[in-house]
Amino acid sequence: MKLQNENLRSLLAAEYVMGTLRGRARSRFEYYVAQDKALAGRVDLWTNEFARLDASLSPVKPPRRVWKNIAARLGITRKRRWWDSVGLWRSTAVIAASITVAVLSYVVITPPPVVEPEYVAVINNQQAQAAWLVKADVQTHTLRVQVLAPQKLAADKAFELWLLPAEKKSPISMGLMPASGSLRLPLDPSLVSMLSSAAGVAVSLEPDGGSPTGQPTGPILYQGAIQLL
Amino acid sequence: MISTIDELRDLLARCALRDAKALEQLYALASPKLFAVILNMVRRRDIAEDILQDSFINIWNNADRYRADKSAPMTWMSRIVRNRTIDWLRCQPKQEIGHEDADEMAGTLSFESASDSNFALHECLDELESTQRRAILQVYFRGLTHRELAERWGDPLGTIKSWIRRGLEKLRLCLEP
Repeated sequence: MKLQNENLRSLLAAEYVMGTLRGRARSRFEYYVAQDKALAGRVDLWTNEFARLDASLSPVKPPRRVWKNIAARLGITRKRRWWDSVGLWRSTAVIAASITVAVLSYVVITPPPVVEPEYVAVINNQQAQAAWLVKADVQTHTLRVQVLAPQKLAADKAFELWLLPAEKKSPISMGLMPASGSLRLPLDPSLVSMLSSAAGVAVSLEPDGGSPTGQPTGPILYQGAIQLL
Repeated sequence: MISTIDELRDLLARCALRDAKALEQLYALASPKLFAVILNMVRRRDIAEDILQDSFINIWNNADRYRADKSAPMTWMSRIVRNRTIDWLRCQPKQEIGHEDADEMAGTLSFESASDSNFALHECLDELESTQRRAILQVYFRGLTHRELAERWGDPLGTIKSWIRRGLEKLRLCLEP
């Protein structure tokens, strides 16, 4: 298959997207696409254009059993329990976080040296599981980040930590978070005074290297409250 | 509009982080549209259900490969769904669908494409000769091969191929001025 001619390339990409390219021709075309970025771009272009046509189809709700089968196959099946309602879920998360903080503060504080003000935030994921523990050491201007539950992260993405200042002011970046293990980050001295009044901290999903704009560009995935230890 | 692009993007990102609740929400929002895409192509509910099921397993397993800058979330998901459906179709010996069904479908679509002119593709499709447009829409929505369309319409295979090719060439010129 010669793929030099621009017109032919575009036609094949369209026929691939439409589905008329079948059998070995289809596999061979997929092989070319994997190596040829420009060709892959053509496929994306036709995919995007044709997908607009899908909007003209009337939605059809699939029967419940389809979701049940998916959940069973992925092993995520669960009964709906009383604490699944949103309001209760929120307060459960807060209680869970406070318990975690209490347990951790006990562990941390047990051999007590001089008690310096320290702030702690436990950042929960959507299942109310503690994902990160962030401790702000005001004396040394350090943030210590510890991963409590390892997080899956694509190679070209990063988790960015944000301070959510009081009165709904714009989030301020505190640095990039590890997906596993622990990490020390410098704590900007200007942020120290904001810690006690802050609404909390949040983690967003950003491109590798962090947000290019200085504000969260990806979805906020995790949030946590700040507690004085 | 069933949901915003941002909402779907957010859910896909959370699926990449293995958040099962996000998958459930994503399924609730996107499955009716995707199920319609499959049903149009295979016309059998039991098969369509299986394909939808496999597709969502695929979406879950590949959510970390979704690139927000390349395509809208629905586009990305419908691509998975369509490829899965085409895989199934190409293993089938032959489809048996009546002619009246084909004509009814083409009629509905050309009407809708004329009424919804927000999108470049709709406008460009309207500029095609009606046989070219109908052939392209039939092939796309029904997942037909050139040969299957030729048999349905009772036209020579060569004629069908050239309608589609000429239609696509015009579309391309119209979409990339």
